Amino acid sequence: MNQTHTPDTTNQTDADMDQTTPSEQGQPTMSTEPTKPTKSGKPTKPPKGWVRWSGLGWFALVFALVFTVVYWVGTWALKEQLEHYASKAWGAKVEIGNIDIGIAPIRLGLDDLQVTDPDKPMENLLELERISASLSLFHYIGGRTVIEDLVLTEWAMHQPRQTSGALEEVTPVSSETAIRKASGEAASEKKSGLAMPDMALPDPQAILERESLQTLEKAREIEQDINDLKQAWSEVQQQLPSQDTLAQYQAQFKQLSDGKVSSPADIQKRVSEFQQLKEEMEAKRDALKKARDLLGERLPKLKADMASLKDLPQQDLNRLMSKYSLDGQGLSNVTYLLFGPQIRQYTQTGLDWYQKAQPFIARLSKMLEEREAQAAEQGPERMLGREVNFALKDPQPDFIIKRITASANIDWGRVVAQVNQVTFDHPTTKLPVRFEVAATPASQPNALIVKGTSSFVDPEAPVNQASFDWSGYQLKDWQLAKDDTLPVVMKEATSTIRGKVSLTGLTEVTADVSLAYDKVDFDLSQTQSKQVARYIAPLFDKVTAFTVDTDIQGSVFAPSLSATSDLDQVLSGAFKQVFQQEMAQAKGQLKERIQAQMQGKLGPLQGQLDGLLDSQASVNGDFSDVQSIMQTNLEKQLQSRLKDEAKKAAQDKIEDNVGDQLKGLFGR
Amino acid sequence: MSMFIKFFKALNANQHPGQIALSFVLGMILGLTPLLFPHNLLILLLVFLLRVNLSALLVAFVFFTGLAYLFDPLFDRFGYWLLHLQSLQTLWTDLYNQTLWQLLSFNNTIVIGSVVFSVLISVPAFYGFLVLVRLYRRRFLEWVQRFKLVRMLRGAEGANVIGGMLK
Repeated sequence: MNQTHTPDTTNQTDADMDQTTPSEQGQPTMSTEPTKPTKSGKPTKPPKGWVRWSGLGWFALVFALVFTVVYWVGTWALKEQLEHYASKAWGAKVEIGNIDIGIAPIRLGLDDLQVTDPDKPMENLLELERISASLSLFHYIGGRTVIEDLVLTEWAMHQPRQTSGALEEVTPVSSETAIRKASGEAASEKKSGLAMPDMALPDPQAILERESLQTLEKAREIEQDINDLKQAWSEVQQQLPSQDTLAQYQAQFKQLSDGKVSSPADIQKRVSEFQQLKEEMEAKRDALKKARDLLGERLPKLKADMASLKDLPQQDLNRLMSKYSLDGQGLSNVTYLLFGPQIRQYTQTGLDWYQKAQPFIARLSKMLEEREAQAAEQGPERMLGREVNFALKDPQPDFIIKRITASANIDWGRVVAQVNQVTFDHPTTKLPVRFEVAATPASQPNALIVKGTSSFVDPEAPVNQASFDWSGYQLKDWQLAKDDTLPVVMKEATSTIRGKVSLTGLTEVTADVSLAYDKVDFDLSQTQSKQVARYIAPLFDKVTAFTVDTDIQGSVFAPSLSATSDLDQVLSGAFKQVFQQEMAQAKGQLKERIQAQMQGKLGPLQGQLDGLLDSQASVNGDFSDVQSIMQTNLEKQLQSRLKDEAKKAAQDKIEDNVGDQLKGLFGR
Repeated sequence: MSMFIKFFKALNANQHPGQIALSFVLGMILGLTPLLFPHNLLILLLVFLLRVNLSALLVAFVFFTGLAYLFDPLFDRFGYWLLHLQSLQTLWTDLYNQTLWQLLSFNNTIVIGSVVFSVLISVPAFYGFLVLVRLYRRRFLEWVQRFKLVRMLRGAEGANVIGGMLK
């Protein structure tokens, strides 16, 4: 410490004091101004002014030092924190190569961001060369994270990793993910080649060999019924009385019922013999009745079946012609067959991304909720005061990214995307998330434009929808179907793709996709099917334009898919025309063959049925005869005859007596 | 101890009383208002820019910080009253929508209460401290210098001895 001149008298005034020389006090306040002599001859320094301009430099220096330290430490800490929490939220390692922070405006930049695929730890789902975000200082001070701009540049997807990106704590697979995987595996197991409509045409012999005719089926059924009946009939027939037996019964009955009845004793005798005859006929009559019932029950159905059998050949012919002519139905499924797998693949890709995002959103929401809960639990610290909030002219939610801009030139092409108003608090913003993506493959002149909105303004009824438009998409050598039977290659085409996808309540998906193809050049030369080469390939050659309309509806985990197209009509129409002539010929041949086959069956069946019908007539006659005999009241009949004969005898006797008396009167 | 030595030296003779009074005022503001808030950057800038006595400032800061613990509930109520004054609502709302004022945390009851209170009393406090310093120099300086300790402090040798003892 330097020697200081101090006042040595109590009478020294302020002015005097001001004139004294303040020596160095070890403070930055000291200056090196020239001294002037005092009364004692010692040099004194003049009083220093109030302002010390060098202090500005000191202040700037201290501020810069503090800022530098905070910047370095803060950058390091922020990188660690971001990696930690992002990895925790994502479920796999999220790594940042470098981080930089800007001040005016507040900006955060990340270089070499790597996001591991949670399902594939040795693969990065996303790699970003740079991502930068500018933050609203105003809202940040107010405790809200309002990112004005988020810019992502130059990304790559599905890149291999050098080390595993799995977290140490294994994230449990959600049940939904498990279900999705299971269903996906099941679906892939079911997926086996392309099922073409049966178009083996028009060899009648081949058709008849392949197809089961209703005519023959019915004939076999009738034949079986007849055989069953014949078997039953043969069993019954053994118990039936022979014609001789029946004639003998007739004769015996005639003998008993005819002839002169001499006396009541004679009647009794005949009745007794008739009773014996009836007892003998009783079993025969039962057998005849059984036979009559058997034939009576089954023969009407057989007769009806035989009658219907005669109409079946025409029905068979109509059915086969309908099936093999492919008119109306034959190629109606071709759109689904050709485009279904492709659309299913696109849908699955979309669902995969949706599924990947779901755990992240869930974890992030959970973390935010936990943080809010912690904040709610923490009471106000002592003597921190209270925050009085006023109306904001630009109210914002706690977290929002106002604009996300992404652009990249990747191997695939150029991608530019912009997303606005990304937040979890739509009720505050009253604005939906809006996004627009323009993707232009290197080989295409035009970009795929996807525009959409996601609104949770009403959390009970969220609305998520997107529309896409891709005009002038150039297709070349597109393997539409890889099936051996129908290997459809679109060698060249220009297509326009438009569609709309809606997500209702996050669980129901509805999508309409319209594809219009123009200047189409199909190639089916790789087919191994002669029939396809002969009939289908020429049809595809004629197709130059068509449209496909796809409809996807249902649960996001298992949506139902349908596709319709005028390609069906185009193909069906052309197909019909090509085959019309051959079909006429084939129809005639087929008809002849069916008729021939039917006649081969119908003749014998009719013969057998006729025989059974004859038997039925015979049995019915025999039964009637036996029944007639057995129902005869012989005693009454004989008594009546005895009375008649006695009466006649008495009458004859009277007549004789009267005659004799008349003879005596007039003749003698 | 070194700080007190400097403080007493400044107080005794070698600095303008107004500068010492200003040091007290700035220390008072630092002490009464919450420390780690941006408004104190302005105070810090003034400390660097103006020729103030750092020792006096620190003494005042320590003293008024202790006092602030007692006054905080009053500042809270005063700030709350200020922020809810109907006639000032438009002003507060306008300020609330500006980044600088958000940064200054003016809407915190203790911050606004203590800062306004400190600013309001800073002018009378300055003159009060000025009078006290002059009064000290006229009435109490001689009396204080009779103390052996003070006499020791007056010389560099004494200061070095004490400094050596403290090391």
